[in-house]
Amino acid sequence: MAKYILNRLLVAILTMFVLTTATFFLLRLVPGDPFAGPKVIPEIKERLRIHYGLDKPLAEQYLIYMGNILRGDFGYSLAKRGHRVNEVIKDAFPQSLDLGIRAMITSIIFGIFFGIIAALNRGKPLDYLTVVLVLIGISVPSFVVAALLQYFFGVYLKILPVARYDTFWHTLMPSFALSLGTMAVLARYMRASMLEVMTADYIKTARAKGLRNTQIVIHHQIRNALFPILTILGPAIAMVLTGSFIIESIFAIPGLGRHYVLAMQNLDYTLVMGLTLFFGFFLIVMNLLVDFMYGIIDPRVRYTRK
Amino acid sequence: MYVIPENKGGGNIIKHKQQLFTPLDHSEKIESVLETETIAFWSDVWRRFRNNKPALIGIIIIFIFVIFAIIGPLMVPYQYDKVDLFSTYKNPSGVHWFGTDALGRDIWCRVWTGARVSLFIAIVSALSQMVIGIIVGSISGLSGGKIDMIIMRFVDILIAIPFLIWVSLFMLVMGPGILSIILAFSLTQWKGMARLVRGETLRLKETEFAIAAKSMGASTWRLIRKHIFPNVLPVVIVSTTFQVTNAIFGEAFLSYIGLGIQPPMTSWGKLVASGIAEMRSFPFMLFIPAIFISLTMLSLQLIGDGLRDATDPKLRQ
Amino acid sequence: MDNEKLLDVKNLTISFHTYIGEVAAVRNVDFYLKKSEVLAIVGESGSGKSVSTQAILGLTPIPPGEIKSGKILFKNEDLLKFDEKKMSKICGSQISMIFQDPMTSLNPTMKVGNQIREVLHQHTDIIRRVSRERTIELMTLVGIPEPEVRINQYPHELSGGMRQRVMITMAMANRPDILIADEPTTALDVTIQSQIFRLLKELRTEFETAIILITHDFGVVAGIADRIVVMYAGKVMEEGETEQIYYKPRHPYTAALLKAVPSLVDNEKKKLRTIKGTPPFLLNIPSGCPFTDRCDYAMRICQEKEPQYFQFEDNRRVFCWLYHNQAAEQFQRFKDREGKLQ
Repeated sequence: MAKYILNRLLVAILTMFVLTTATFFLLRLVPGDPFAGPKVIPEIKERLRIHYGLDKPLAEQYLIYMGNILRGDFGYSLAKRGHRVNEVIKDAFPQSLDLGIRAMITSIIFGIFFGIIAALNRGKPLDYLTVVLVLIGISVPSFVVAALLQYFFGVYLKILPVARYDTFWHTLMPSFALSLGTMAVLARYMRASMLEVMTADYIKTARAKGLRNTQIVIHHQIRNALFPILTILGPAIAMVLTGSFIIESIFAIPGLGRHYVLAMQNLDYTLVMGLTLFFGFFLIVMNLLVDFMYGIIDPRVRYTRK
Repeated sequence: MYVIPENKGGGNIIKHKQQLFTPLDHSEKIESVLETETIAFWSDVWRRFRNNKPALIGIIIIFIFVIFAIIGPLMVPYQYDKVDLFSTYKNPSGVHWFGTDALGRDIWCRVWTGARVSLFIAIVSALSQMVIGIIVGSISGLSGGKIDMIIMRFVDILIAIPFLIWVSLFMLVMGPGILSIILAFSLTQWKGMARLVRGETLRLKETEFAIAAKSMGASTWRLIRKHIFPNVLPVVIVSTTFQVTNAIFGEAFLSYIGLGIQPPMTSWGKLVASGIAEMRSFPFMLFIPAIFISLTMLSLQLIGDGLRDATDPKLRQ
Repeated sequence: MDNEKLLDVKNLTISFHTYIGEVAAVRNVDFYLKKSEVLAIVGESGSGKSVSTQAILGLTPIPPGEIKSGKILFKNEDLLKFDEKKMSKICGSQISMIFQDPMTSLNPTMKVGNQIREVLHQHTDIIRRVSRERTIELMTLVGIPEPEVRINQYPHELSGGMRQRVMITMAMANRPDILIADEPTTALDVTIQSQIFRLLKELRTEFETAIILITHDFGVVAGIADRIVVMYAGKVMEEGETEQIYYKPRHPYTAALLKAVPSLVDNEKKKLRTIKGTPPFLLNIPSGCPFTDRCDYAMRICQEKEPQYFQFEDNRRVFCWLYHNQAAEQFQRFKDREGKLQ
């Protein structure tokens, strides 16, 4: 187990290092000029370049950058003069985290619930209904869902606020729009997992032991069907995170996703770089956590990794 | 030792023709044949795919969309980039079937021009991902050892970061445009295919027929072509179908945030983006492209699911 | 009503609906089981032996399965008419079952102790503390060493033989009247096999449990079974007491199966005999006897008409045309050849 954890940690650190390096060099290749603009005179441009350290040789810039990252300092935003990337993250992360957690909880609860319902009613109308809903959830892009929700509830019915993220009512549409895709994926997985467990020999044993159908479903089937679901929690978190780029932009939520999109539109390299790394680190840590959790919960994994 | 026993239960033994009791010659016996074994793999796949109605509907929808992408813009007397400031924001009508946008451009024409762009990007990038994935995956699987380890570590790193982030970074570097989008997808999205092909290659390398072929002096290339390739083909096809949906979504995402297709050229993603901007006053501008993009994604998903089910060995009973 | 019969399966027919058509897995099968008796059901895979016994506990998957006709009388009550609730009272308490592969038959994510206790709690009002002690007691009884440790382990932490002992503990926990053992040793190695059979024999003497042993291996039944039912292609081919079947097989199929058993007595280097051909695919049921095409003594009538059961002394019956009084000539051949081999 210790060896396994160590191995996973090393891979995670290596991934972070490669990501940091790749981001740095990729963004140094960007053609546009962040200080371009009719009002900026060349002298000021030059001063800005010196101020942001863009006049130094590339290798030196890289070393400085890596040093800063190690200290947890992502530098300055180029577009928002004077703003530190760390401040942007500090201000925006709580909103994104809140939205992300709401979306994750919604998708896990409903995804698993619908998966179970569909599997238990296999081949019946309720199953077909779930399968169709899941297909729609997977196929309809999140920005289409978000825009349609906004139109119907915000513009047409006028019962929910169209944008921003202040009260509970503001959170409803974005968290639902963000959770839908993940919910569909989870429901589909849960259904497949339930059906696979349903044919397992130990379910036959349970029946031969005289357990009632409901007991079998609760104690044996759902329990065992849930383990494989844990393995897709990592990808599910990544899905919610990338989904937030668009959802936050559409609902004008001042979260990290919206900042990321804006930074790309403004060619704000340092902010793009900082946020990319932040997202990367966040996901790597989450994946590690999910993995360890799986190792702790599933006795089979716990055993083989000892 | 044997005595013809007295038959206790047989009170009503029926008399048959005596000739029926003559021994049966060996040649008259029929060897029972297991029917299931004779059904060849691909005809079986086709039979099961054909019975999958949703997948067939998916194929028909995609087919119709492709036809309209080709002829659609030619059916109306407008061009996708023809600005007409005297007829802006027209609702759908007999003159403009899908209405016009803020610059008076015909949306029917733009939807099908956008379809060309979106479908072209999606198909070309899915195919190039497939090629890269197959090459990297089979190199990794066949060579094994250090090369395999390095390639797989690299794939792990690619997978750890969501593809939209990688694609966005590449787009920032290469600038907007159709070619950049295709390149960005191809360079970042081959990882899943490589993993699949590597896994299958490793598995097949150990199977008896591959070992037998090798022991008879078959070259590596022949082994790939004759044995490994036909076996990985089903998973490759299924995975490529799903990659097309990913690419359509990715293109739409990029166009929405402004890194994708640049005006006056258009795509479905671009049309949805401008629809979102105008939806308060002109909701049809959102609905029309939203329906097309969703239907396409749905159809591809149905086709992919159908192919997966049809080629899944576990389901072939 | 025949009161000495604990279980009486009558005219059972089960089909499975698959995409290529209806497969008749079990056709008009009869067999019975007396109190504390060991009945072996022998046959190749696909002969319908598992399907017919799973139907006893209501384990037939429906759909695709369908029970087309028959009765399964347990203590003179038809189990096929029981609903889920009534059936669950029988399963695991009066009739229990152990399966072929103890690895997949145990829930991989549940401690073995809890899996055993589950069956105790299901059928008795035992309190939790007592059920733990009772579980340890039962595990000791079936020869599981260190039951206090094992009780907290997961199935993958046990060896194959130990897992099957856990399955047996579960099956015997409520002292059932009948234990159905479906190929209980096929997944285990030979030394463990004999241990498990010894255990089953001991348990039968101790609890007076009747056992239905399902196997494809004639070699293992001699020492344990009282009676044997031979099945082929969903049909009972021959039925009788173990000694009779062993020493005087009446059906050519039984005779062929017996010859396929490797013998330790023969020290001559005899080639292991096999039966040529494969069992018929039950999608297209042959019109006559299903064994015709592999039978050395087949006659024309075997291809055309299904034989009837010929009854003999001591509840012996054979499903074969050789015993028709018009088949004397062919029967003589059978007698000459198979008689010598005994």
